[in-house]
Order: sequence, then C-alpha cells, then structure tokens
Amino acid sequence: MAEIDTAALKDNWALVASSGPDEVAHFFYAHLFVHHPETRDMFAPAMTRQRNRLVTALGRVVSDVDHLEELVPFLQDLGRDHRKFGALSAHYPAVGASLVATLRHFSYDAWTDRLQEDWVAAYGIVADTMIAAADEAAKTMPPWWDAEVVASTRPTFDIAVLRVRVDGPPLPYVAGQSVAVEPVDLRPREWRFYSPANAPREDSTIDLHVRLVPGGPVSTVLARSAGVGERLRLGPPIGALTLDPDADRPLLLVAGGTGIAPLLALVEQVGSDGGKRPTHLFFGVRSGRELYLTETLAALDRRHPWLEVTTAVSDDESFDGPQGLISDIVVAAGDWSGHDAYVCGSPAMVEATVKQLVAHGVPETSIRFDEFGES
Amino acid sequence: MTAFEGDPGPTDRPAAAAGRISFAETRGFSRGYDEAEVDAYVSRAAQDLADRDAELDAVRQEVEHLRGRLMSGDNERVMQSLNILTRAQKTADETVGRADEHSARVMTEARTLHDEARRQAARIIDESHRQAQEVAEQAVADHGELARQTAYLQTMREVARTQMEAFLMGLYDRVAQEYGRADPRAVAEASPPARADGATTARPSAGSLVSDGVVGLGAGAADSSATAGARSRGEARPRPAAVSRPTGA
Repeated sequence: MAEIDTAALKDNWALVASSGPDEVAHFFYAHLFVHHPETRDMFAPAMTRQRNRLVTALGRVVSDVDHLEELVPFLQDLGRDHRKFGALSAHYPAVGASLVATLRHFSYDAWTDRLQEDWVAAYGIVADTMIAAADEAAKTMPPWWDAEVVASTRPTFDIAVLRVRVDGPPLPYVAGQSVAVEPVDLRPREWRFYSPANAPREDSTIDLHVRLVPGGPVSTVLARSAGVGERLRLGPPIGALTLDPDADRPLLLVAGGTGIAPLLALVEQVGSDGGKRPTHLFFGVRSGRELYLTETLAALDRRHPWLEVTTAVSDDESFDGPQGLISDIVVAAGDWSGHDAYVCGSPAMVEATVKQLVAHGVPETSIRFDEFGES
Repeated sequence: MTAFEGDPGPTDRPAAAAGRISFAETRGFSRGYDEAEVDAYVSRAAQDLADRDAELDAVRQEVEHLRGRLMSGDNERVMQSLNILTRAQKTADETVGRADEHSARVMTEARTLHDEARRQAARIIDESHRQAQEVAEQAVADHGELARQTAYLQTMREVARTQMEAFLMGLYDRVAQEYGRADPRAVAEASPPARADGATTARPSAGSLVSDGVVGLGAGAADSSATAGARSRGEARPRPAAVSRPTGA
C-alpha cells in the first residue's frame, strides 16, 4: 500500500468540517443507522452530545495523525472505552463505510479515488488499534459491571449519596479512580463519570456522591429519582488520582463540593495502609447547603490522629467557620511544598487551587487533580 | 451476472459446435472437405457470431442501464431515509434539549431560592438573637431598677416602722398618763404588760402596712403624719385619725 498522504487527509477534513461539524455528524449517524439499523440501540435517544464527541474524536485523530506516539494511546483508550457501549469488532467496518460515505458526501467535487483509498487505509489503522486494545482488555475485564442501588440518602435537595452493590466479579478499582455510570432504565445509553467515595470493600459496595447538575440528564435522575433497587451499569475504572504505594510524604487533599468523593476514598486508603501519612483534608463549598458531610468529616477527624479536616464556605455569611475560596484558605493555612497534593472539584476550583499551590512552592509534579464533567 | 449463465461464451463455442458440425469429404482429385459447404458454414457462422455479438452488446447495455437505474434509485431512497432520519433526530434533540434547558432553569431557580431562603433564615435568626439580647439586657436593667426601688421601699418601711413605733409609744404613754391621772394605782399595776402588748400589736400592723407596695406610699404619708403626730403630741384626737389615714389611702 502506498504511504498515506496525511496532509491531503487533513485538508480534506478541514473542507468537510467547513460544512458544519454538527451537519457532518448528523449525516454520519443517519447513514450508519440507515445501513445498520441494529447499531441505533447503542446510542441514547438524544444525540447532541454524541455528535460533539464524534467530531471531537475525529478532529483529534486527524490533527494527531502525524504524532502516533500520542494518537495510539488515545485510540487504545477509546477502543477499551467503547466496550461498555456494546461495540464489537464487527461494528467497525460499518462505521468505516459510513465515515467514508460522509467524507465523500461533504467533499463534493473534491473527492478523488486517492482520497478514498487513503481514508479507508487510515480508518483501517484506527479501527485495528481500537479493536486490538479492546480485545486485550476483554481478556481481563468484562465490558461493564451490573450494579444496583442498595441505599440512598439525600442530605440536601440536590445532592444524593448512593450506595450501590456491584453484582458478579468485583470492580477492580483503586481508591481515587472513577467509573462511568449508566442508569440502565432511567437514562439508557447515557454514561457519566463518578468517583467511588470509598476504598474497595469486601462486600463490593461503592458509595457515589451525586451532585445535581442543572439540566444534566444523568445527575438529575441519580440525585432525584434513583431509589433502592435502581439498576446501573458501571464502566471500567479510569484515572490517576491515586496514591503512589511507594510514597510516604504527607498528603494535602483539596476538595470542592462532591469532588470530595475520591479524596474520601484516599483517606480510607491511607487509614487501611496504617495511617502513616499525615493528611490534611480541605473541603470547600459555596453555600452552607452543600455541607452534606459535616458529621462524617467530624467523625473521621476524631477517629484518625493523622488526619486534620478544614471546612470552608465561600459565599454564605451564615456559615460559622472559615469563609473564602478554598484555594485561598489552603495556601493561607501552611506550607505545602513538602506534601503530595490531590485536588478534585469544579474546573474553576481545580484551576485556581493548582495555580495557587504552584505559586506557593508546590512542584507541579507533586500535584494530581481531577475535575467534574460539565453535565 | 446470472443473466449470462445460459449464454455460451466465445470460448465454449467450438466445443459446443464440435458435436453437430460435420462436412462431407471431397471426391475426385483432392482430399478434404467440400469447399462450398465449408464456405457456406463459415459465412453462416460469421453471421451467427455477428448476431450474437450484437445481442450481447444490447444485453450489456440493458444491464448497464438497469444497474444505473438501480443505483440511482437506491441512492435516492437512501438519501430520502437519511434526510428523514436526520430531521427526526434533530426534532428529538431539540425536544430533549428544551426539556434539559427547562430542567436546568428550574433547578437553578430552586437553588437560588433555597440559598436565598437560607440567607433570609440566617438573617431572621440573627435578628431574633439581637432582639433576645436586647430583651435580656432590658430585663437586667429593669431588675436593677426594681432592686433599687425595693431597697428604697425597705428603707422606707424601716423608717415608717420606727416612726410608727415612736408614735404608738407616744400614744400609749399619753393614754397611760390620762389614765394615771384618773386612777394612778391602776396604771402602776398595768403599766409593764400593757406597754408590751402595745408594742406587739403596733409592730405587725406597721409591718403589714409597708409590706404592700401600694401602701408603701401610704407609709410615706404615714411617716409625715406620724411626724406631725409626734410634733402635735399632747393632742389626743387628731392622732388616731393620722394613723388611720394611710390605711384608707
């Protein structure tokens, strides 16, 4: 096979995308569903987010096509991630055919046999990389884990703490990681990431802290509608907000809102490792309404001599305690340059905190962070 | 290409022909086939071949034509389906999008209201605290005033009692004196016990007068009357009237 002309593919993609990324994605999915109606069931009824994802992923593939060292891991993740949607290697040629048809459709007269050949070849490489990674993952993990809500509490009207039990083989996550969650019946085919708020347990239960995102289809049903018995699917664990087993430096954990969930898991982990790492947990919220863990945190603080907890509120004068942005309060509270820092919360909170920590002498390499999705 | 399966291709024509074609052997000088027969066959075969080629071309054209129609028809249907599906999806997405937007608005409003209610509640609690504080301070201040007044009244009571006692003693002495003039012996006998009785009856009555707050002022009046009484000692009549005035006040 002749070398793929990647510059021509990039130009062609730019031409195709100029018709409007959403139009292109609409055509692609319509083409796929007309020719392979069986694939429709793998997607949620509303496709807006899905189209954005497709266009983003395609754009990423095209722009990184000359940087395989970055593209390949991305495609491997994508391939592994697609297992939970029920994607099989048999689906890949169908997607390829629709993709090429879409590109041809929006290229109009600019379409050539050479472009067709190069796109087919390029897609072949993408599909092979994804399939190989998916097949490799299939040797050790199921595509998803079935789970069921066994307890739910709503400390406030827009935050729920769900305890779910994983059925079948245990979900092999590490404290601090996240899993994608699909409310099978309430919001089929919609997946959002949540972080277990506990280290792995013997009884395979996981606590999820759900903050209702206004207009968010998954968070809304999880926070308001999901009761005991609600069926969920959980995807494979991902994320690197985890403890380095060899590290022994003290820990600084900074949480914004329900971003505290993975950090609570880390606290549990430190505890079950013998409490050898002095830990300071900061919990920041905007309104006193969001202080849903007051008793839990007080109990942890009492029980663990190696743990200190500070709670602060940024926008509620009625709060009887430290007031201000958690990022400001953290850096005012001490010198963290000798700590390993973990930050989790909203994108704005994470950005502000990481920036402040770096400005106050914490090396970027000592900071790990994770942030909420938008919905 | 199932349509062509019955058509003998160019390659199998000699084989098929081999079975039924035979030429008569030439007679006379030369050996071989009858030239005329061969010529006739060749010309017939050439004609057949030409006919079949023409037929084949026609069929090929027909196939191309049909295939073209099939493709364009398929494309048309596919495009129709794509358009219908795209429209349906757009409608669905708009509907869901509107529902999500509505839900977002409702939740945002709920949050704002909730936080506003919390703030208001906090303000009300603060205000209540402030008012309770004021009431408590007032109560402490009032208590001070009460204690001051009580002390004043207690003093007044003591003063009144002392003066009352003095007055009664004076009255008693006077009565005793008047009696003494009439019957000196009787006075000498009755004097000590009668004085004691007078003291015991006078004290409780003076005490009970002052124990009542309203009468306290009367005690003040009694004080002045008693003083007046004391000053006008020697006059029997006005004194009992002066004593009884506070009680009536």
